[in-house]
Amino acid sequence: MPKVRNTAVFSFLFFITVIFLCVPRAQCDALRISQIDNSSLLINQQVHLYLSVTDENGKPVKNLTEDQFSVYEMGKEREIDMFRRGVNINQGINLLLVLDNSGSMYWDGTGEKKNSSDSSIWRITYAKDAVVSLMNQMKNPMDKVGLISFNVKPDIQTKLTDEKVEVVWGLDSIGKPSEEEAYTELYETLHESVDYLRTAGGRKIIVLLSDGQDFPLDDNPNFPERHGMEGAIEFAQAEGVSIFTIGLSAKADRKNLRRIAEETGGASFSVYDPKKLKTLYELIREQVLNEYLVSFRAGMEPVEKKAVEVVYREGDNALSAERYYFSGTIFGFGHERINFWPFIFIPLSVGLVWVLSLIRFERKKMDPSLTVFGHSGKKTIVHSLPVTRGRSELTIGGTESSDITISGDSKLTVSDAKIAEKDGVYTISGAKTPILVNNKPVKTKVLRPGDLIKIGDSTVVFDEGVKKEEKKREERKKKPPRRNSRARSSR
Amino acid sequence: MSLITRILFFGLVGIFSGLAAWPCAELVLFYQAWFPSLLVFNIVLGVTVGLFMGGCFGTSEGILAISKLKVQAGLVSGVITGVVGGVVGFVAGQAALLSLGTTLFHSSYAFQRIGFPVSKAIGWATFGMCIGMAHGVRSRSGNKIRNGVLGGFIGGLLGGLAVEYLKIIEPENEYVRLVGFVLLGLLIGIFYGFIENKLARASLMLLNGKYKEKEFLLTQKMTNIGKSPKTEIGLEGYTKVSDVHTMIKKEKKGFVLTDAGAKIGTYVNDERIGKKVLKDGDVIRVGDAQFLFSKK
Repeated sequence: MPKVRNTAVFSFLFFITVIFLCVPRAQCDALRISQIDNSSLLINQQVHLYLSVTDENGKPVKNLTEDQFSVYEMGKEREIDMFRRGVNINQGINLLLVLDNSGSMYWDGTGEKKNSSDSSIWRITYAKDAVVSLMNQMKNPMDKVGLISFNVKPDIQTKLTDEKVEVVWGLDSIGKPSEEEAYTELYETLHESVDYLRTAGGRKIIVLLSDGQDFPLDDNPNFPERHGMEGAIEFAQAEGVSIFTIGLSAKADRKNLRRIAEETGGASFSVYDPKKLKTLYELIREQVLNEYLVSFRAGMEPVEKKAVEVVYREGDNALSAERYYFSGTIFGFGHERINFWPFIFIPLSVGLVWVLSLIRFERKKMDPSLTVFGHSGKKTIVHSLPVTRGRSELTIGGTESSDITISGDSKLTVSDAKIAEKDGVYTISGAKTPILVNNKPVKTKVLRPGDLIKIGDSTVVFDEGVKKEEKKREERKKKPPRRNSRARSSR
Repeated sequence: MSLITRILFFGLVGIFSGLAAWPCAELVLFYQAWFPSLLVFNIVLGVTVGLFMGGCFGTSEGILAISKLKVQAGLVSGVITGVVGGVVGFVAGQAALLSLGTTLFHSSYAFQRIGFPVSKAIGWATFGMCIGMAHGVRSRSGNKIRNGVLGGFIGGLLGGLAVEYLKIIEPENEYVRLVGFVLLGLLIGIFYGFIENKLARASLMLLNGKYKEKEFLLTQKMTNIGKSPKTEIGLEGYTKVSDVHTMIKKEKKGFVLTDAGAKIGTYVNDERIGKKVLKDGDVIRVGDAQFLFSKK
């Protein structure tokens, strides 16, 4: 008889389940934008939303259709470009398990037996079992898992890997903490976990299990810089990491754990019985795997912080969720009206550049000259060479009585060099010692334009200038022979 | 040409380019919502601003060289490289801003106050860098690319920071961006002129004639001197110069001068030279032109 009753109960339960499965739409209880991704905005103007829809038990609701969702950006409905179910099943997830390993994790579930040697009643044992069971279920080779335990500091037990068995091995190396380690650096560990996970691609999830509150050690050498809970949340948001939190036991800081989860697009759970951990881990995995990916074409409104609202409708019931993404531009945004007078700057600037191009930095001076290049920061002085009929020779020296005075050079005397002119040919000669012209010691030299003369510590450059008459004379000289040659050949 | 003149010259050109680019950029910004996507929007902005900045700097390079042909060639190549640099710069700058901005977006307000202007300035700097780089690409010289990148980055960063902080002080002012554009152009110009001068290992100064005291920086691996306007130092207004008269090549041992088979040859310190490693203070004669070679 009891057997018959059992079957009846089971068939009734089965019937109920079937009914629930047949009407999944009635179950939707919460909608969450777990991640908003604007990384392809510049490429194809798309913004991706990862949505999680759950029933009242936190179970993901599958098989919803595109037409039940609407996306609003800046209050305007946007066209959905892409809609995918269970998007993370194909892409795989990056899961980082963060386990509290404080002393209280070695108590029993209620916290009554604190120093039991029976490890089977410890909270940590249940947690480890739950992780092992989760690892057995994660068959997708695309999924990667890592394990971090923490008390006074975080310890990476298993690096992010697709070999789930390594995580199981990692669990074995978690041991009971000593007295000195009796702190719970919850927030700093979370910050470091985000830092560890951030470089992984795809969907990034942290599952944090804790049975207590953040209990930091003052001047903890492991954390020279503290970020606090806000810091950890901001970091997770910025890196697109969703944090799921599990508060174990009545002592868990449920309020803050919920806040961390809600603000990072994760979910928070509280359990008192460590036996339930197994189901919880599995539930979280399922939620993540069954996220919906909705991509929409973003508008071009000039706003830096764009609000996106997703509305899910079933019958009269509607669920909505809102998040923001950044869409600033380098130069900022235009003004309310446009002025046209500034366009005058365009011809003006073009004109001014044209004027600059006319300057061309030419020397107009035609006189023969000597340029004295200043030594020790002195200005360049140009002396023109006024060679008159009466005087065909000029002296260069360091005193007032020299014809060309180079002041401030102590090595110079009254006359160190002389320049003589005859028929437009200038000749320099050193007074006593040879002088350097073009780095060559000479006693006397016919100067070419551009010759560099060194006297004492000074540098003097000779330039004949450009003589128009001379040029013409030269041209005249050249032309007659050509005519003659032509004339000859024609004869 | 002294360092100050060079800086002043490039700075002025930079101001003009900023002045010209500003109204066009404002027009594009005004119609932002009309653009189909952020990418198209940034490309159009890049073309607009790059056109003016590239054109102006290209022309300026031509003005500093002697020949008129170089002014035209500089304008054309400046516009082309400027447009390419502008587009690349804007798209890259926008990408940098989007990724930085998204990170900042979730940070605390106290941090945002510093972070947003900085990240925008980085966007400006990326843009400036590309414009500056285009400047170097045009002359096909690794050093000039480096100079342009450095000058453009610093100019863009400071210009962007100025705009962002002015915006905080005077949020209603319509001319904040004008200040930014002028600063961007000015600083790119100044830094370009300055860095180019600082990074040049040697220079040639004309000692005589029409362009006396004009200084040519030897920033390139190979500098050709000749009558042809295609040479780096195109000597117009000097007689007895061959089309390509002399080449100066930058090698490990120093700057090596080689006569390019000119009819009357090249003289260094009044001696006819086929090939010579130049030393500081050498006087080089190319046709009727004499140069002073100085190392820095």
